[in-house]
Amino acid sequence: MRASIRLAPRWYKILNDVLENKARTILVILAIAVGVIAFGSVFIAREMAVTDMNQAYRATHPPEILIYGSPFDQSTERTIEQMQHVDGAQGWSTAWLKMQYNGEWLNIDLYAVRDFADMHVGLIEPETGDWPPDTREIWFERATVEFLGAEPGKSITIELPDGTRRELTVAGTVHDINAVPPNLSNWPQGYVTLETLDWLGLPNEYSYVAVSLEDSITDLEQIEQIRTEISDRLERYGYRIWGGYSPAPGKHWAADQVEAFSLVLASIGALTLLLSGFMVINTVSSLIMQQKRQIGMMKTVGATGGQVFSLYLLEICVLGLCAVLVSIPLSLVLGSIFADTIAGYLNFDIEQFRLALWILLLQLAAALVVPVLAASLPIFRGIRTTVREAVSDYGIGMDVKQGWLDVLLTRARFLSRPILVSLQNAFRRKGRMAITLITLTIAGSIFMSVFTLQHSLMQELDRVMELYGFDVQVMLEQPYPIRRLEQEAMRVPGVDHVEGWAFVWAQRVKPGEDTEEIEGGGFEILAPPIGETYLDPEILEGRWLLPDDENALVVSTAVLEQEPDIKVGDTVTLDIRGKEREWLIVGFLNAGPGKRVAYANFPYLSRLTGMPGRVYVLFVFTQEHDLQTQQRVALAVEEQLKDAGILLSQSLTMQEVAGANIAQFNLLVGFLLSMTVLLAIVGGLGLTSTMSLNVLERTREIGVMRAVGATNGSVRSIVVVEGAVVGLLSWLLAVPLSFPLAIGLCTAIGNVFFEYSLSSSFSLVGIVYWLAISLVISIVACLIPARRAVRISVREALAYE
Amino acid sequence: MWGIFSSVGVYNNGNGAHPREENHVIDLRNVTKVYHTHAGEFVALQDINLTIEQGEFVAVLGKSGSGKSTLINMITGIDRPTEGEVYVGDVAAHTLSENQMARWRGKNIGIVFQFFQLLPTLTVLQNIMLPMDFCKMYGPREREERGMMLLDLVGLARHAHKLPTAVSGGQQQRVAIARALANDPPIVVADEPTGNLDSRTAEHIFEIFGKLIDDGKTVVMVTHDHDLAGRVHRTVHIADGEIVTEQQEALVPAS
Repeated sequence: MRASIRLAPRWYKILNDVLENKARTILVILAIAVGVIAFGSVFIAREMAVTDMNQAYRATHPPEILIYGSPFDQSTERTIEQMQHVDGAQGWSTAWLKMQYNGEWLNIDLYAVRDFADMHVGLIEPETGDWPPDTREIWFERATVEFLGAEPGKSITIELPDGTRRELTVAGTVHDINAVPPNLSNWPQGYVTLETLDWLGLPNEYSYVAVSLEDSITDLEQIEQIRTEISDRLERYGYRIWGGYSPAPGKHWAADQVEAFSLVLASIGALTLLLSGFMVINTVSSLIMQQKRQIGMMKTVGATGGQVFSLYLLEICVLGLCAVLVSIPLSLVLGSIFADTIAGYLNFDIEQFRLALWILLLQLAAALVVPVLAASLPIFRGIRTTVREAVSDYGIGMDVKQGWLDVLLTRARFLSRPILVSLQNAFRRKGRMAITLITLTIAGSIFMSVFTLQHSLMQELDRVMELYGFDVQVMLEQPYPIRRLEQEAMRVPGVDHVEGWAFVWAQRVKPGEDTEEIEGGGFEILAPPIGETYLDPEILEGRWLLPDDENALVVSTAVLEQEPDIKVGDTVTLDIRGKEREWLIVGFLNAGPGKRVAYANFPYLSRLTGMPGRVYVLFVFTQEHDLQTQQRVALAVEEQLKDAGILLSQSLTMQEVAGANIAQFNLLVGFLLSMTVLLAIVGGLGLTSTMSLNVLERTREIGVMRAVGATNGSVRSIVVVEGAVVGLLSWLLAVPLSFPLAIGLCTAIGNVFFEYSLSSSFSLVGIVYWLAISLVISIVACLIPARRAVRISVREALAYE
Repeated sequence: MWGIFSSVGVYNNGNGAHPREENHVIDLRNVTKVYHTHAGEFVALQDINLTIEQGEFVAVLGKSGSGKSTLINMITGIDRPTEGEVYVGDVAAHTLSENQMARWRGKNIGIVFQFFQLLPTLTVLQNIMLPMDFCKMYGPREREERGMMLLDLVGLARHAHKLPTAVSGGQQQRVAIARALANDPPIVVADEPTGNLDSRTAEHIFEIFGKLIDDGKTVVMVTHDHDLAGRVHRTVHIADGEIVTEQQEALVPAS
């Protein structure tokens, strides 16, 4: 006798049930697995990305304070290092220039420190080349190398503000995790020595100092307090402080965004898992219905309700465990792809692709708990079936009730019989239909919401571009009279209009609780030429600036989020370059996502900054707005200004800025869409499962239809049309549901990435795409059930029980 | 040979205890069953009084829809009376909860259905072991041995590891009888056990029931077959939900 027989018969029942209907088992395992993959991969990616990002960041001994001003020198570092709680200070020189590489002119930011081999704060790590840099060498940040396709050993041409060109040799690459990579900023970065800056004829004083504090200092308020003390001391020593900020201690600059975005993705993942639970409800309901007699028989021979309940629950657990086995390796693969994409985009390395124990346990719990909870209700209802009900039920289900829809459909004489049967069938099992519809509807509404998000981001970008309206921004090495700049720039063909704006960094000063003054958040004050500007501000409250305004300020909603106590009519104190002045708030405007800016009148601000009628930045408005025109005009304006003896720093076109933004948006949308694909897979599996169950339960009916003349085509079309009806209905329901979901998604993404509630602009493209996708999913999902229906013979069908 | 059917007393599980009267193993008192259907009320049983003695072989006869199956569903606890009381041994079956009923029935009443009702995904042997498993009767090794012994008794030991669909209808019914005897119940109730079988196979099944009687079991059987009914201790004729005649038969088939 076989030893294996000693396993209790109920275990055999579980195993045989799982193995008997392989298609059903595979569908349920796949649905749970997809849910667990969607859910788990986000957690795996988040854990790897955030942990490794922060670890790599902390390993660079990152600064807790950055102070911008000029001119700092080596004594500034020593002054700061002598202060209490300060661990180290690193002065950085920067230069904004233009470079030519492979024949193309680009902007580049050059960074220099006193001694690269003796850095203590914000370390950069050499990757290739003979470190440290030598004079006339340039080291590229590795993300810049990728961005440019640059090769070590080659030369690049640097154009200095006066138009002089110098050659630098690309000597190696470094990894600077503190730098924003050029794929996000559109700004390549290079590292040179102070001697190289000197050789280039550029000032080699530090433009900012990065300060690290003792490890015990982690409280942000205390860090801010120390920053104020450092700024005050430097000002007392005669340094000019332009501003500064304190990065979150120990956190990479993108860590919070990755965390928050992971949360959005994990929410979709959790929803996918939940919807896979819906499919479990459908499958288990059907299984229980099919096994009603078996349940009755088990109860007849002595099984209690609890025993039957646990038996079916164990069956679900077996499926859940199988799903875990499938999902763990796949979620690790997908999570690693996600993490690698994030790491590549944000310029850090994933140390090791791994699966944390807590995520493994979470996936295991999710794969067991969700299906078990989903299955509990149908099983519970099933075991409540009395033995009499169970053993007395046979034959074609006669429990069909004629509802209003059936009456309506029966009267629709223009419909063919098979179509009519499909429509009636679709609504026969209303509970099952509802669950399938919910799954597809949610998948569809999220898909459409993601498209709406993309559309909204593009609309917002267009709006911001329209708000500023300029085509080319030219940054100057020193302030020049606006009238002179206008005269020169307007000579360039294709230029429609030129504006010079003043900019200054301002820090709000507000009274603290202990009556000492503390600094609030900082923002930029922009001063366009009021009355002449193309700027078209969207005023939300109060008014726009008038030509006679002096210390009037219109602040953006992003500033309001930072300074919520400000109201129109209030007077606020701002610290601008070390001097405190009162400003009157006259209005609020929408300046675009996360734009912490305020607008003031140009004459007043230019006087305040000691540069009356002079500007550092010139905005050029072209007659045509395409990239080629913008690039052509930018070059021509640069040439014109240089010929006039004006020293330039850099220039950029609006289309380049837009392109960098669009690339970022596409990454966000890509991540969200990949999660939506998983959601749609669960929806498709759910529909396949539902249609399979429908075909199985209607085996006898299909047999009868075949007996009275239904062809293969008729039977197939009945099944496929039923599925298409479900797909179409889900689309109809998903469209209105996508509206509130899109608003939520836009708000969430807006807040995560722009600290701004992005207003949603609905995408018709998404709606049309999902109509097509839902119909394709529905038809594909019905192919297997339809094939099964076609294969049912009359003899087999009438013998079916 | 049939000595393994040793239990003749009905176990009381502690609930619904009832003082046993004389030798009645089954006692239905004023049992009425009314079904509420879309078409209105349907009286399936009307004021039934019936007692069955231990070791008695009783056949319940009647036309389709007369209430035969409802009557035996009252005895097995598969259905509950709308009015009246059902006593099986010391137990007031009508008072038991579903779970109490399941466990009590599993140990005390073996049921055989017309359509066998074997679990299709379990082998013949596993089907027989299932009641022992659910009622926690016998140890794991004993269950297997007892299952094989019961299969041997119904002549199907060589089919032990086949699925029910791999054996004939008559063989499936013999498996169903073996399963009914799994926990050694004192009472066996059969609902048209031969209704789906040819006459030769039906005769074989009837012989098995006769042997159970020889061994002291009580057997209640619903049948359409008047020939078979003539070979039991007593026949109960039921029509329109009422017992119309009770007839004491002379002979019990020889084992």
